[in-house]
Amino acid sequence: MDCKKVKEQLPLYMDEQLDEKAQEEIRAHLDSCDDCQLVLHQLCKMADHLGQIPHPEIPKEFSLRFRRALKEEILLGQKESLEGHEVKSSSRWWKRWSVVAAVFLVGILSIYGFNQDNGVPEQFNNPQQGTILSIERDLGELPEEEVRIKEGSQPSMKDTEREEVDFAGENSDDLFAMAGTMNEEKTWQEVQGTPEEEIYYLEVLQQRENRNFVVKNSFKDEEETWHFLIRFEEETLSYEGKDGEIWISE
Amino acid sequence: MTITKEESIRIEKAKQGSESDFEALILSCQGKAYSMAYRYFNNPEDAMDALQESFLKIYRSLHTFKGESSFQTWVYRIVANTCCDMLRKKKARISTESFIKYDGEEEYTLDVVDQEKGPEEWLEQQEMTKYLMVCLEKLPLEQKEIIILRDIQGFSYEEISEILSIHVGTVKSRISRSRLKLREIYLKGREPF
Repeated sequence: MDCKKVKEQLPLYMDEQLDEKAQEEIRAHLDSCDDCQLVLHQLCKMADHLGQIPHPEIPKEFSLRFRRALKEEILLGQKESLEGHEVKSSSRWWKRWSVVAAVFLVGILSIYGFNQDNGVPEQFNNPQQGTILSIERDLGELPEEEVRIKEGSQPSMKDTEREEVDFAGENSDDLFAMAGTMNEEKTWQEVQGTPEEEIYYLEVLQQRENRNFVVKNSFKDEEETWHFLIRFEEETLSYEGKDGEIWISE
Repeated sequence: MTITKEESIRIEKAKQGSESDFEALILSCQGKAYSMAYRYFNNPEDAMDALQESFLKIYRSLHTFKGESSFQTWVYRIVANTCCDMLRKKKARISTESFIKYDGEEEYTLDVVDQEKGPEEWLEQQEMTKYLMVCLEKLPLEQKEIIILRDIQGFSYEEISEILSIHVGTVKSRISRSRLKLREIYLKGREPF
């Protein structure tokens, strides 16, 4: 084993974190190499010093300060509950967006269905900016395929969850694109090729998490904040970020 | 770190809304959590802000705690995440001045208590510790964080893996790179040991 390789492994050797064979090889190398011995000595001394730094005591005021903040948090929760407002939760928030996506899809399919029957109102033949799309559609005359899709989407189309959405696109292709963005799950590799900004934020996120994930949803809102719904193997987390930062949303 | 029976009961009670049980749970790990947060910021105000924010997050998400790791590890994970997020938001690489400024003040001192050392050795050690902290601030956040967890806070590789939600292999490579980088920075500005 040469000195370069030994030096690279010394930080783990000193914690006995290498396998037995590697530990033994390095031990043998150190017996005959003063340079590597010096590096090991320096690394150990640094770690020893860091380990001896006294732990600061928590300021006495913290207890009172936290208790006050906790009370406020509890009161806020009670107040919101009394007013009938659910505490904002990311899962509900994302659910809303999936409903929006469903609305887009139904809207698009409805447009095609009506086009075939020449029974579509003007605004759906040629969606313009600001057109309101709603799931309140009479599907009685739609072909079987479209009806089947509507039935399949029923769970997110109850009256209480009906959404109307401003459509800012130019044509039905834009609708497909938006609905697709909101529904697709993408792996990290598949995200490559999407707009530059999105890649940047995901790179930040990947560096931070350092584990494989699937992007369930991502977009930028009106306030220029990016939102990501990320699924790891065992958990799903949402992130949002602005100005080059990403943090876990509450 | 495992969950004791008593802790498990407290967690369940806290989940059901018991404020006192929640506070007792927090109290069991707030010293180490504060010490951790302090190392990210090197000042008590930011450390307290981060700790408060972390504890409120824990309160809000206690119902999601499934006991897959120990309660303490879960708390430290949230503290680490919160500190990183706050540092990124502030875009602040905390100046080393703040570290030195607190030297000698009531709530914090750099003094390393070691009665067996003579005055010269004691001074030398204190100097080196100060200088090491200056060097630590020059590391990228990810490397600084792992040195804090391993060398200052003394967490095991497995604990760090759980706190940072990364594989032990990644912990190893990160520790290795970070220690070598810290040594490099140290040697650049100082005579060899």
